[in-house]
Amino acid sequence: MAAWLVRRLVASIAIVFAVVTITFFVVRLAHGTPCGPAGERPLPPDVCERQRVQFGYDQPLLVQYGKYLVALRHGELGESFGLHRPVADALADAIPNTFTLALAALLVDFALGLALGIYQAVRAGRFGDVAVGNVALLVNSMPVFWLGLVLLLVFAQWLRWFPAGGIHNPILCPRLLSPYCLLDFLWHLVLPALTLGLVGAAGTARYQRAAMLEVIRQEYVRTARAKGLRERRVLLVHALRNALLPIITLFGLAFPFLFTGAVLIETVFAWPGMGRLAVNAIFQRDYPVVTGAAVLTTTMVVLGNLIADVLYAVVDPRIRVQRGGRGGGGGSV
Amino acid sequence: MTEPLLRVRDLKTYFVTEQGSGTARAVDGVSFEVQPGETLGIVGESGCGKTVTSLSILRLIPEPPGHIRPGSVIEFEGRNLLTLEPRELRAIRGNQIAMIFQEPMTSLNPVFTVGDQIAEAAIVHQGLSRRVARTRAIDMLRLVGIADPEERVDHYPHQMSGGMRQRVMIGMALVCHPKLLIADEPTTALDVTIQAQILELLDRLQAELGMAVMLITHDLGVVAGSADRVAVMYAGQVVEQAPTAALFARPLHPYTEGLLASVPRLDAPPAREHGRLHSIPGQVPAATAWPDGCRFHPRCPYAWERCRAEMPPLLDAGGEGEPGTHTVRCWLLTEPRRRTPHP
Repeated sequence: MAAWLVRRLVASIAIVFAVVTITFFVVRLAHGTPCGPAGERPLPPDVCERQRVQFGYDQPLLVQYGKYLVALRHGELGESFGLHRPVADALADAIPNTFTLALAALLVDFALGLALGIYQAVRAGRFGDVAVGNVALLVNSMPVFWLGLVLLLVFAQWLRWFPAGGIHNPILCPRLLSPYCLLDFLWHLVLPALTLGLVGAAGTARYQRAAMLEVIRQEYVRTARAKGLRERRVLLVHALRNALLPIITLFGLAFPFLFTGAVLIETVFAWPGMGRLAVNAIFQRDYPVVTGAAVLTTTMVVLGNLIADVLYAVVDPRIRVQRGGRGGGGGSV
Repeated sequence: MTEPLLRVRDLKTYFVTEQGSGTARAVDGVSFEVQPGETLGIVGESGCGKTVTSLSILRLIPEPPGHIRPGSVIEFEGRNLLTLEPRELRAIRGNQIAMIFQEPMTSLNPVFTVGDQIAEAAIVHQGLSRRVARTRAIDMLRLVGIADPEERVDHYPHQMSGGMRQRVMIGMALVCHPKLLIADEPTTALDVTIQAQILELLDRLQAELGMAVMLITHDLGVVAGSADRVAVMYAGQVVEQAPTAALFARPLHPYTEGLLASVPRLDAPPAREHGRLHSIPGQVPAATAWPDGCRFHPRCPYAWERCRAEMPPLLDAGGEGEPGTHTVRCWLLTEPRRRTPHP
């Protein structure tokens, strides 16, 4: 298990490194310069030139890349030229917001997805299953940002149940930590988390239904019934524990979905997270911020997959016992 | 005669096939009784309905597609299991009537320790605490002959061999000391040497715990060694029922005759058919289309017109014991002189 974990960690670092490299070069291929896209609020040429020298963009690209990697080793991500502050600081401000949003969405995704999937499997082929399945398919096919806009329109604009955007009340709760402000924060969190979570839950439910249907047919489920267990215990203990195995893979895959989804959702709901930071940075050609955001997102996605793999071992004793017997990949069960 | 422990009367378990092409009458009017403490063997080929019969008793048939027809009766100690509330049925499952299955590889839950799986029924039915139930699980493992039970109790099924898993299954089934154990092909998936061990174990435990056993198998050798009485099933029906000794000494149904003839024997080398083993021609018909008349007539060497037209009832074959001890579903009993095969 330990050797396997080390192998996985090495592979994870390699992935992050590859993403840094690709992002570093690709973002520079984009049209425009840090002085602003051509033709748009042009800076005086001498100011532009001074900035280029100040940030070291006059040096050859490979030298810049080398310097970036050296700084990265110390955890430095460079200085943003749009925000006039270190990239690490800007990310540190944004990441808790994205993380909270992603976590809340993950909760909605899996709590709702699992519940619906189990319900569907138990009622397979009957009205409840078909109804839930069709609604889930509908939600799953909606673009995340469009669903966000619809929810905004209905619940913020028409019904006025939830705020239309932002992360907290700017007048009463700019920074104050109090029970009221916590509630205020959660109130702002509902719509974006629900948007992201619903789309995820629609997919999770489909997987869970299939996994559960597969397991319900197994003989050990019949054994559990023959023992005289309640149907609820048969389904939620004996069947579900086995049906969770394929879902854990999904859990690992949910992270990239949540982070990419967050980019769009944060823009729609004016949520000051990493997604919005990255989107703005891309428009401004703020290279250090774009690369920094990519590094951080990659790290978290890779970490999510690592957690999923460890969870496999927790849920499935067959993996736990084979010490290091498994290859580096996420083998399916 | 004492009151039977289990009385199955006119059991009909049908399945609606998926294409809607018809109804599979997997079990079609089966009746038998199990006395306290005895072993009843149920024998037949694959597809004859013996497994469906055993699953029907504890109502483990998946519905849909299956259903037990109204009019069927399964009485356990005088109570009809088919009309019990789910709660009452659960109190019997795993407690009064327990079951073991053919495949020890897939019948145990892979993600729980064998100890937890054995203890579970004791916790549910007898309200034992987890700690006491764990001790009970260790006792059961010892009882079924597993070495190092204190260590094995925390093992998972995949860490055990097939024979050991079947022992675990037996331990799991017997943890509440049931009055009836239904063993559905308990040795089919095991090596021959292990088969003998498991059957010996079942015999020993039956004597120790005084329970009745319903032994479902396709293997006449298993029945000969373990069963007090035998019911032979064919095409969803019981075709012959007799005490084991009587059945082997005097098989009356042509199907039973064929089954016995197809068992290889060491003491009497088969001289017929150039030393080849006997086999019953043809195969079991599909459960959606049983033949008219006697269901065995297409494969029967003695069949005549009456067999094609009329289904024989279970007829008393006389012999030792009370009337009804040896019953046979065959018209030959009314016309014994026809017992000469057609050319």
